[in-house]
Amino acid sequence: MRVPLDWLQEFVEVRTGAEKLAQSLTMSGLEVESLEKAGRTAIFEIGVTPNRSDCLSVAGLAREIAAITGAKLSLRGEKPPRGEGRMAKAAKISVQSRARCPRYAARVIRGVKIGASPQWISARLAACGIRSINNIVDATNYVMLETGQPLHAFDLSRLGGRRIIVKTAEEGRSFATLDGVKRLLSSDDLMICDANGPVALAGVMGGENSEVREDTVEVLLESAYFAPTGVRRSSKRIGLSTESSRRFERGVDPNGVLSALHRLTALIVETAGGAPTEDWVDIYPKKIMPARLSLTASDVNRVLGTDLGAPKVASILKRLGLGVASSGKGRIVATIPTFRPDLTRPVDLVEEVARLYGYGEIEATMPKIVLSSIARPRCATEEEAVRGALIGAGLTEIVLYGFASEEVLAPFADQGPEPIRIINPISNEQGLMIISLIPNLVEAAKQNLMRQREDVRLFVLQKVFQRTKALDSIDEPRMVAGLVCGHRCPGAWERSKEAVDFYDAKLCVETAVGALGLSEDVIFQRGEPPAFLHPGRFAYVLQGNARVGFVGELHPDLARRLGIAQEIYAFELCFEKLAMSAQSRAPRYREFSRFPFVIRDIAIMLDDGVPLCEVEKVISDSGVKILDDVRLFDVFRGGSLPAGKKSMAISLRFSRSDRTLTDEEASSAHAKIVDDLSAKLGAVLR
Amino acid sequence: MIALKERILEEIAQLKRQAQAELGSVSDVASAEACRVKYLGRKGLITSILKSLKDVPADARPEVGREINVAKSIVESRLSELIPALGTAAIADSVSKQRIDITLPGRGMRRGHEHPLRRAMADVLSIFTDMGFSVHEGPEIETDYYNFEALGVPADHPARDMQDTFYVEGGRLLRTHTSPVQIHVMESKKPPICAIFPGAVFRRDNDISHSPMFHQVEGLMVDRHITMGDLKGVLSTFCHRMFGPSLAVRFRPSYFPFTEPSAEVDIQCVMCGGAGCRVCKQTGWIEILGCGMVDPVVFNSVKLDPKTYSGFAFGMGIERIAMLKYAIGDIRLFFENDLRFLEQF
Repeated sequence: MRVPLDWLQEFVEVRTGAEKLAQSLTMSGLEVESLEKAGRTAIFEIGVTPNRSDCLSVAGLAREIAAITGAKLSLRGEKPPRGEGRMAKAAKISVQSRARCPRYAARVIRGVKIGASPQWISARLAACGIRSINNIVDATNYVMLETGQPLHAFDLSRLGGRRIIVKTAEEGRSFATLDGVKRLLSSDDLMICDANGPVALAGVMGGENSEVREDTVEVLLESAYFAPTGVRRSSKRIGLSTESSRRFERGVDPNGVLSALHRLTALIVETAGGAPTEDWVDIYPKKIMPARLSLTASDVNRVLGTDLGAPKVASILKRLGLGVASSGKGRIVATIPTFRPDLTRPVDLVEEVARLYGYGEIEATMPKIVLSSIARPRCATEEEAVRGALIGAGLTEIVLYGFASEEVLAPFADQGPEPIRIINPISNEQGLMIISLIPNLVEAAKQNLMRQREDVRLFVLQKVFQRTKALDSIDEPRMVAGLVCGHRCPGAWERSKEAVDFYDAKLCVETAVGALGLSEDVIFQRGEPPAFLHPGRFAYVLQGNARVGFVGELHPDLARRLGIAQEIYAFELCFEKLAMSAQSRAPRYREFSRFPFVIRDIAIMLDDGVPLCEVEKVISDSGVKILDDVRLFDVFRGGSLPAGKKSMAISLRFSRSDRTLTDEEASSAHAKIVDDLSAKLGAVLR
Repeated sequence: MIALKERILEEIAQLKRQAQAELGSVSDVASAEACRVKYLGRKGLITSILKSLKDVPADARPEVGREINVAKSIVESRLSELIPALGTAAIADSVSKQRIDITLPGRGMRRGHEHPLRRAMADVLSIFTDMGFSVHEGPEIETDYYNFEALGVPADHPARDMQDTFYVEGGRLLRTHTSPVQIHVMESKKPPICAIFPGAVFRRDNDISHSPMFHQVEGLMVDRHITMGDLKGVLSTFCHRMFGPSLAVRFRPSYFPFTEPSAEVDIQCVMCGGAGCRVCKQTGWIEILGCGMVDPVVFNSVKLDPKTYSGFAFGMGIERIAMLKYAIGDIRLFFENDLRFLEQF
């Protein structure tokens, strides 16, 4: 709400400077968002919170300033302007939807002359951010700004049957509002109608068909109280929020309807001439009475931690314009004026007391509470461990949106359940909740590659959104995913030419799994890969018999389609599954031999297709008890080797825990292993 | 016979002089070792004389023998000083020539970088856990009831305009704040409750200061006798630990449907120290979090008696805190995942 200081000063004395006043307003709950100099006055831009409908007017703000500063308030006591001719003859008004329109007042002015507003009106409207239209419309806006009561002027000659009927619309009927837009109505929309149909969308906007034009000579002025939620529903459904609807949906003063009508009548007569009817219509069958609330000083002190006495509480409430009486035993009974519909419960009064007493005056204390063992989210510790490990492994952490566009998801969507759909995404982009971190992760890598990056090493640990078997529930498990491409050691000066491959990504998985203490539980296994991965450079990650993730190269054809020239290796793990099994698990120490060990290295030639794990299995199945450790230290192909063959160099370590090993023991163990490898795998010792 | 003795003694004296002269000019370990062989080796000059002692008449042997031993020990002791000293000198010499370029970077894999939001989040959480707050999480896809209704925001409430909501199929929505976790926690646990709720939230907004997804930390303390003074105490402590102990903090009235009284907390602008700048729009103050005393409507939703219990709740945006703490001007940077940004943290 924008308001010029000189307009406020018509109603309240401001003794301090504008800056000081802005400060006081901000500190009592009306945040002054900006303060502009405008000639000899200043314009305040005030962020009025949705509960304070009373502060959407100059008079209401003046009342608030008076309460805060203690200055004298002088609101207009509007006398009804005199006129001629009976209203009943000029127009016929009826209200059918009493619940939606508790009060409807109207008056007619004949013989108006449409023209420009006087400068003082258009200047004030401009200061408040409202465009000047003509003297009639400007007067409705001016009085609305001043009193907070939205008003409307119809061209009476254009009202069919010179009638006003307030009722809900026919479902599906279309109606052109003042802004020239055709709106489709619902049976829940409250309409102002004439004999032929709607002429205004009640409380929101007037219609084109009854708008005041240059040739208008008689106007029907409307000042009404529409039920807040009804106006809000219409405004929401139609997607039209106006100065009027904003005020109605927050609640205007039902008992201020008439004085605003009088003020409007007087202003129009002043600026556009004409003669009002001698009386007016005021349909208000059930008067809305001020509410009463009672509270004690201890109710206030219990919430605030203050030590205020009842007189202090009563005096603050009085400053706000509330009627205050005492009902004995320190109980204060406050009568709430109808311009404060936000004050409905004793606790609302506690806030009023706190506001005017000053939040700054409340002493800061530390709570006294019984100690208890602090709870944390179930995988918080594991999350820290994995994040730390992956950062240590050279991956940079990213944060992804929880949703993605169809375009980004499509290449990865060959399997798995349908993602959950957002009904009203900002644009067609970002319309699906993610079920995997991979698509957005690859997209992030792609963006970096497009920005001239060569080496991209990223990881992300966050929630994805999956449907569960029970249709009405959604799982939000955390996943961890990562990706490497470019050089193996970015920034290295002597290994600068090595590029990443499958095993770099595999190390990331091993690092993450190792950080959870699960290295020995997890294996890598071939399988039918998803279409977005390279079938030959891919492995499922298994824990026990359950798949908990994968690691592999992004399919080169997909990379090509995405415009990515590098090989990209990615992994994704079900973080929560792993973390849950990591819990309550502590390392267990195993005795090691303190006697010297013997190392025997072997180099064997095998068929290229034999994986290391088979070699390791033969070695461990050899039954050699003194075998202590097996370590692969070289693999090569080509050179002097025949095609289809490879050489593996393996270091065997032997030891006994009770004594030093003899050379013969080591030799015979070594021989046994070599024999087994030869017999079972056709390995040839080189 | 005397002549033999004299001749040998003369020979020994001569050998001694010669050895001393030679040892005096030895300059490296190898020539010192050569000296040892020459004089003390199996066929060394002193060893040879010692072997010829048997030819000396018995009465002269003690004297001659003594002289030989003197010569031998002079050479030995000189060598035992010389060899380590020369060894040290030799290493010193070669070390002095071994100069590497110490400005080349260390070898191996560089550490990656922590996302600034995770870092700011961890800072915020640890301040509260240090004070004794537990940490709970809730679902990001919520029902209207938990996100709005239970918090005192029914369907036609104007406060719904404060947060533009994403809806998903099945009538659910993406939570617009972490406040629904308040309800989940109070439904599952009786007071005293002292907990914070971190997590992602979503609003239909996208510009320099709004992101459709962002992060919040919500806090809740409920017990008998919790006051607004306690709220001020806890949140002032937080602000001081997060941004500095000398920073001014102020509480001013505001509005949230689920707290009453409600407040915004401002800190003195961290950019200009309160003098007024672009970041604080010349006010010297920066809004850092919203808070208030739990509204009875919320207690009613979870069937706690507002006459027995009182409490406070607060909520803050982690992006905002990170932007202030790390001087970041555009919220979208957090989600663009540009390594040129991320590598600064």
